[in-house]
Amino acid sequence: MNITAVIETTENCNLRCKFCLRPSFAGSVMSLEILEKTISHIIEVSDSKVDFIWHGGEPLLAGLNFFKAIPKIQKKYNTNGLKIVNSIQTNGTLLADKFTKFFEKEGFIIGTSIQGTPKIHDSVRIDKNGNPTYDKVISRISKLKNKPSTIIVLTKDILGKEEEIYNSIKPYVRGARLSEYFPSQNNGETNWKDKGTMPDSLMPTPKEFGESIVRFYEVWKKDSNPIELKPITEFIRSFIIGKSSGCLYSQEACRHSVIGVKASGDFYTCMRGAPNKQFLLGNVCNKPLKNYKILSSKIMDKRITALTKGPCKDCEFWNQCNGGCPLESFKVYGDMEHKALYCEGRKMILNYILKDLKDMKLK
Amino acid sequence: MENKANVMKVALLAQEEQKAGKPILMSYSESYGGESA
Repeated sequence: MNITAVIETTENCNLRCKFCLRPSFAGSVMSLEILEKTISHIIEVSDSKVDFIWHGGEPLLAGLNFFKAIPKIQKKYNTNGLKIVNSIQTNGTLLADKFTKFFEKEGFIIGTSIQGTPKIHDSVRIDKNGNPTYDKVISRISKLKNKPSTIIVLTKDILGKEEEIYNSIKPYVRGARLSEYFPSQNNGETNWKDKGTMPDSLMPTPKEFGESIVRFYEVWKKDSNPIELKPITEFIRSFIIGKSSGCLYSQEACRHSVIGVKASGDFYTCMRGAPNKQFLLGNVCNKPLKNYKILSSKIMDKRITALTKGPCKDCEFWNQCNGGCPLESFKVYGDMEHKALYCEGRKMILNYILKDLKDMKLK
Repeated sequence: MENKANVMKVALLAQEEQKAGKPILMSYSESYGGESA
């Protein structure tokens, strides 16, 4: 099978973003011993391609020597000539020239996070001492030969500023993903629903989310030289092909091959499942991927049955949405049987795109 | 007239990929291009 391994090099981070998914910043850096065992095991169970996503915390805190070891270990164990792709998701503030030169030489794909405009970014993406980080990130990524992609977390701060944000990030990136914000530290507490509020003050309502992403779509459509803007471009693709392709919109992505590896060597069905034990496959020392397909399929089958007989029954956008991320359901509601939190907003943008495709006789 | 050229471009590319037999499920590096899950 093809494997996508999201590897947490460390829980630690030099930033304290207000919407951070991390429950803790206490962990140490993955040891070189665990790194070697992780890489060798993943290569051993893969049959054609491996995506290694070097993640954190802030992965660059692992240091240059950690990253220099990666291609050496991959070469040592990749005796069957698998295609290996390395990507790194960094906040960009520590992307010194020594890292840039190494990543460019070794072909690492670089992703970063720019939260729209300088003002919005500096209000939420702050360092440990509360200092702003926008200028540092832009200064670092501007030196890259290939522009990075970026994530924009769709929070309440974004609402109404979509055009300004699109134009602000465009000079610095080759693409952006509008990422749905959900409160990972909610831990299944559902009393927020009874209060008629969202579980976090930064979180837009599903309607606000939908309206915002529609505005992004309109800005993107008007651009004569557009950047890739996900998930909008993925939605268009999914209408044409008939199925969704990416994480958060396709449970097949989870079912097939995504795993999360903690710095300790613990393997999870996805990093979003950590540290809940029910998603733990084992530790790298006991070759946990032997059980991967069985566990991930069991979880997914149960969820898909619950959704297609329940909240997603007869939904015309099932193939585009798939009910959303199973682990979002778990984190927000405490079980795996809830549809996407932003369902109403997802339907809004999907209806909007579908109308355009119909007007163009593409649907 | 409303500009739908960008939509058309993405849609046509998807059609070409489908004809060429490209897998529906993109790999993480294609789907995310170095972004976070």
